[in-house]
Amino acid sequence: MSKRYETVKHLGEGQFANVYLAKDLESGEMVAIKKIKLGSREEAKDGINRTAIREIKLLKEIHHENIITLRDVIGHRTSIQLVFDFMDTDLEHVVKDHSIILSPAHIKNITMQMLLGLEFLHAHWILHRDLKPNNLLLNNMGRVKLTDFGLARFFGSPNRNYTHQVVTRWYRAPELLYGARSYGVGIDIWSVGCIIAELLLRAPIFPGESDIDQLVKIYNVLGCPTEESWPTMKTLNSYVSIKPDSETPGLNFIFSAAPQDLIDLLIGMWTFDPVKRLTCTQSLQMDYFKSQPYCCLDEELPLPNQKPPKRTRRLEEDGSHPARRLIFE
Amino acid sequence: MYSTSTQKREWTYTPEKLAAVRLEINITFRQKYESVMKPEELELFVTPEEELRMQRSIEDAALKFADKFRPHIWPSVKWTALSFFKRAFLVWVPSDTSIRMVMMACFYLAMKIDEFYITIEDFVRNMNVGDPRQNAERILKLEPELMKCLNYNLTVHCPYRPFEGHLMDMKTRMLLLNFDLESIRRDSMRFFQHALQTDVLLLYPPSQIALAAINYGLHAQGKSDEILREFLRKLIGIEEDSWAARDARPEDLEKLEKTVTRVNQILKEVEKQYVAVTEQERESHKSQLSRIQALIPELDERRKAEWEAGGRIGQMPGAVTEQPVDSDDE
Amino acid sequence: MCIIWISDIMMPRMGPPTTARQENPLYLSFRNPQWPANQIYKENALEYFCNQANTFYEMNSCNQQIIMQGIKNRTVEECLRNMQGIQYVLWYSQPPLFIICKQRRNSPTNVSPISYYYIISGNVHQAPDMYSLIQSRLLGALEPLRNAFGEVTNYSRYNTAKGYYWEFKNKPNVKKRDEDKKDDEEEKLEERSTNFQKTRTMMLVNQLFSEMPADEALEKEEVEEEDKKPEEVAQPAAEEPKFAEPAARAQTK
Repeated sequence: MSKRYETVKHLGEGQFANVYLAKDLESGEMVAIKKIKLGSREEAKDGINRTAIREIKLLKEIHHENIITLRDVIGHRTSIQLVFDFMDTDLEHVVKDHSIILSPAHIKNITMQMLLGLEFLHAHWILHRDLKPNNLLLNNMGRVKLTDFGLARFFGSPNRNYTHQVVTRWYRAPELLYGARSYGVGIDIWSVGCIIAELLLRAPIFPGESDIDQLVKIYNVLGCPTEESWPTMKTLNSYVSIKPDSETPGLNFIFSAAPQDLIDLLIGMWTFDPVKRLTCTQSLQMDYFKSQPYCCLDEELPLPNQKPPKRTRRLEEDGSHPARRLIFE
Repeated sequence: MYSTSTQKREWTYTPEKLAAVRLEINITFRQKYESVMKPEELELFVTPEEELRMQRSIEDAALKFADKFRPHIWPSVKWTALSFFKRAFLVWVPSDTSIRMVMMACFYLAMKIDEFYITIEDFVRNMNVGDPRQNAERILKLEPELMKCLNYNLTVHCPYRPFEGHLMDMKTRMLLLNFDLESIRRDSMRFFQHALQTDVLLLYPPSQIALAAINYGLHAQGKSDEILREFLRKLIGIEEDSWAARDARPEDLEKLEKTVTRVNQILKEVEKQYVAVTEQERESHKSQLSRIQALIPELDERRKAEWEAGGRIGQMPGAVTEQPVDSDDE
Repeated sequence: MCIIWISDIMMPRMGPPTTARQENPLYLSFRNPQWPANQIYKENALEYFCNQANTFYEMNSCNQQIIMQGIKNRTVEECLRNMQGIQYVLWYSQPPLFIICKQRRNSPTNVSPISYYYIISGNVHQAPDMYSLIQSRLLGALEPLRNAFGEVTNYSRYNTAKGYYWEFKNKPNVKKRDEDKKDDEEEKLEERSTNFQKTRTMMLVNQLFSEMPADEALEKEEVEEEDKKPEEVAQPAAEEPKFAEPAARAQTK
């Protein structure tokens, strides 16, 4: 590592990079350094990795508290390193840690932070295209940040076609599964819906084993889209007619402990027709965020491998927290 | 989004500022080597204006290169590449670099940025000078240096998208126009080509450059400013019916006038700055640059000698602060 | 002696606020027909209770959240201890009776009970609160009394000669009045007054005298009844209670 950063330990490995914990010797803060892998010799001989360039290009333009901050770039001939804020854990670890129970207030907070970051992104004409619990980092102050912009891109240029092979399959929207070459913010919203469901059930809701199976799993829960509900469905490239395995039990049955306003949010986010699907801004205006129980504070979010924090705040008489980050008209 | 971009914040200047920056880097370079140069060598130093002409030479050649490039490259790739080039030479000086290679690196990087997929081999195949392997080597070496020089601000907003947008808008809103707007396209594209060889992309926002291109195209088709005015009135929301126009808000009218003025300003700038590079100039630049570049290694040696003679105070001249290669590099 | 206002007991009471229910939950009950009552044990009583069809069970409670999130690596009680909000716990078990407590947990060490439910042979009822219980018992005790009073009132009679007395024959009231009049007339011929009349009149007169003590004014008024001036009468009367004057005047008539 360069003289400014002192490596502390290896944190993890992904498809494209290795991540290390390091100390910024100038500021004393802990940082995460992502060393992009050279990849195959084929890719390596092409110079700086394209995924890294994509991340740099986008992250240098935007700054938001719910989006990971790119602090520095260290470029060599052979490899490139991206320096980010250090984040202690991610949502995948939280979901998998069964010693944590997510209360309605926790879920509301996480959802709100996700949507705030995504709203900012979409307002700046950027699609993330790879939202999943793994890419939602969480630090010990309870701040949630979107990360991994390796698949992200600017959108909105007319006549530009995009690839439909984006987003991890379990979180992929139906229009992508049907091969749409032109899509928009709806694909990210669909992923957010899947992530919320995963927070509620503590397991992925649509774990498809293939693209077709993915659609089947979706239809088993939400029912089949009709001509009426999604008029342009049949015009998509890879459209095939699929019948679900069984009768849909209904979202109220699956999310038995969830309040109706959250169910309404999920229904909006899982609207089949991308045009009718909720946008981030519309989602944040939903009653869910205005009703009790209100969002918990960031610091109150449970982290894996930790004892639940001592409650220093007393609840109001009716069990509610003093409201924070309310979005009212 | 342009309004919040690094392009607007960091890489947009006024003409005065631009001149000042160029002067500054010119002087810095001069001061670096002056002390070790022999009197007859001093003439190798060029003025900032000449350096700018050198850039223009290369830009001109580059645009030809781009047009011949296969597979066909998108206009936005060209614009991005030249943006990188112009920005780079607000940090570097032509004398101190291999200016042609820098341009190539700018193109290669621009293709990666714009999601135009090409391998390095296919890229260098389009270069008709030099050994492909060496060319590739040099480009790949420059890539990270170029990125650093640009401060990793790799997003460039081009005028083509706003151009298409404005054109579509005009077609939709101005239905009484018995004139095919598509006919201005060729001239507008020519305008962009000229604009690329000026400083306008460092001075003005892309959407205004797009409006200028539209106006240029309209003028070329024999139309007056009136069409543009009418379009802007519709955009800003001023009624064109002169009776209702009395109620137009003063801020709106001001906006209209400012925009029209700005558009014409851009047109004038391009007209003024676009001075085609002559063959003679090109040759002279080439020889000038090659001479000084040939001299530089020797100059560095002289500087080193001087440093040693002076008791090795401070850092060795020319020592590149190369980042140490990591031990756990794969 | 404590005075129980009968009207109070008869009116419905406005209880503590509960989730919107049309009926009084004390009258509701739940039963799961597919779960034989003899297979409810201490271990699964809570599970029996936590059923979507059970109106006493709130689906947004901590218990349901644990179920929805599929947390199986710990006991329910342990999970509940660290959560906040409405929860249900098994309070007491003595088969076939189980008591479930609905509580609000504010912290790992602080809970506020809200209500209790008991399961008897598979039927779930809400345990009544003290007020409802006492109200119910009092009602049970007092309703017959009230009826008795009501019944008995029909049989009480008053007669100026006899005073109050009971008449338990099942004859309609109207006829009785006629009979009474006859009695009155008859009796008048024979005696001046009955014992009742004597004693009662005496009592009334004494009462009046004690309320309006006699003095000189009395004599004066007897003589100068026609000429009396309001002021003269007023003066002595001013020191007495207000009602003395009209009464004094009444005496002289």
